Amino acid sequence: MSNSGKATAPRTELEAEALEARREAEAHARQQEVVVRLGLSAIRANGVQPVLEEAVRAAVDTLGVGFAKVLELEPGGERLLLRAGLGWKEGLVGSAQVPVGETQGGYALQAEEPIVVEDLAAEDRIPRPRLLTDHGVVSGMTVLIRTKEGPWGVLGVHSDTRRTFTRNDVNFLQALANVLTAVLDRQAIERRLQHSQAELALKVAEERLRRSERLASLGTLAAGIAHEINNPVNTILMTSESALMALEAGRDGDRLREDLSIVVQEAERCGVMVQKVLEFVRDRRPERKPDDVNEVVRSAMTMAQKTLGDLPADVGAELAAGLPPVSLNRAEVEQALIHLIRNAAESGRGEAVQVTVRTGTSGDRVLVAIEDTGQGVPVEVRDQIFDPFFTTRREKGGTGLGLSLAHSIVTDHGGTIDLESEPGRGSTFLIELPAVAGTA
Amino acid sequence: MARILVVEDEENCVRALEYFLTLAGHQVVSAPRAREAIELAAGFRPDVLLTDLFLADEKGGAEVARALLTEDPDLPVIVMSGLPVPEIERRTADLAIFRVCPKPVRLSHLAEVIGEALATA
Repeated sequence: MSNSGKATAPRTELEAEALEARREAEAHARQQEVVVRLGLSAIRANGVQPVLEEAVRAAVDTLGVGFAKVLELEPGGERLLLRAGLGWKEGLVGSAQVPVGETQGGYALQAEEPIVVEDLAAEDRIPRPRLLTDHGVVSGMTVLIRTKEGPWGVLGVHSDTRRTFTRNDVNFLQALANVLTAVLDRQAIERRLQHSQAELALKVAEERLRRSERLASLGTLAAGIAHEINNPVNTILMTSESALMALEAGRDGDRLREDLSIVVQEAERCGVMVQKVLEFVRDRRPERKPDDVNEVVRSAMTMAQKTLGDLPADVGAELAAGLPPVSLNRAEVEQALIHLIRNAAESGRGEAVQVTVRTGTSGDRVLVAIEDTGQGVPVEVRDQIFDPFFTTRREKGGTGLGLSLAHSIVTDHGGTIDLESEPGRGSTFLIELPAVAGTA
Repeated sequence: MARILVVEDEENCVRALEYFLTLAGHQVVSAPRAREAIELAAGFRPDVLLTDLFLADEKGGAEVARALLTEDPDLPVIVMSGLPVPEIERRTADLAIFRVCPKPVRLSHLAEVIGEALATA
């Protein structure tokens, strides 16, 4: 600083004061710079430990003290662990634990305010902790690290020669501690986030398992078959009974004719349903070979188009190039896709709808998404949508077997099928199939 | 002679029920969907609700029963369904149902059940 190369003695008291003020201002600016730097590395840091270590180094370097420490309150609140430190004897950092009651740190935790000790030997607020007396500590200051979850620990500096800490020094140490608080809070949020993501993944997996077990159960299938047969049989019974009544009353010749034609019609419906059930439960052929999912999608789209008739649906595809092969039975997977495309095309319930079939990969799995811009699936029926015989389109001739069949074909292939839907905005059925090992 | 609300999406079944119940002297109103049934009930004020479980809309017969029982807890509700009985009971477990009639159900049996329902009402 000085151009003469040696310090000039201040001439007047005023000059001395001005010089002191300037020195303090410069020290303050330096300290602020250090805090900013710690803040920047905290943003980039991966984990908490490197930031704790940098904080103790910054404290030692900037304040010119021999010792710095970060103590973390252990579960139970009885002890503090030396998480990071500089100047202490070897082997203490990372393992030394001190009882809360015996330390400056403990005092700072209880008092919840910075504590400054000029001469440890003359201090009567707190006992003299071994950690400090063993190192010949004379002066020191300790500030609290308080996260959103409560007091976490303390940051402290100590020196083995007597020294005074200014208000700026205390503020500086507190500013470093505040950076640590921010890092710890961020870590807590990240942990909670990871935790809830893991929980969500588990819930989805459990839901899938539960659904697959339920769909595979004979009871669910039997209940569906019972419902589909009992209804036409019921109509046959009631219609025949009412026909007998009409006959006994000797009237309504036209009605009788109509009754009989209903009986014929409902009996035929039973026959068709039995046929569909047999198709549904027949053993699927195990023949599978590695195949290109994009090709299967293209041929399924062509076939589905033919069955759509005058449905106001526009079916398009966005297929990813270079998909790994999937071992599959082409006829079955085509059938599953045709049902899903048909279902998507009908999702507009009379309104025009855009259906998009996309393919892609995720790790070693090939994805097929069937998206529609239809009415969406109401929350209250999501759980039943893959159930055999569940349909919201019975009036339009739906049997409730299409989605159930698609589900069972995909699971037979070792894949998963999931529904995402927003009422009024459309649905996406997402299929994941395992790629042939070693090809993804 | 009573007012009977029939909630059923099997058109031919409704046809037979309407014929039979009208012949028996009842006044019958029917709806194939839950929403219509609930709307109709407000004006019709039925003495008996005769409902299927799976209907032509996403809401089922259980929803109709729930809505009507909230208005009138003493309304006799007769549930008919093609589902197996345990499944019908599972779906109506939280409702005060007068009687479950698994399909196929004979009209003569239904007449008895309706008679009992009206006797208790």
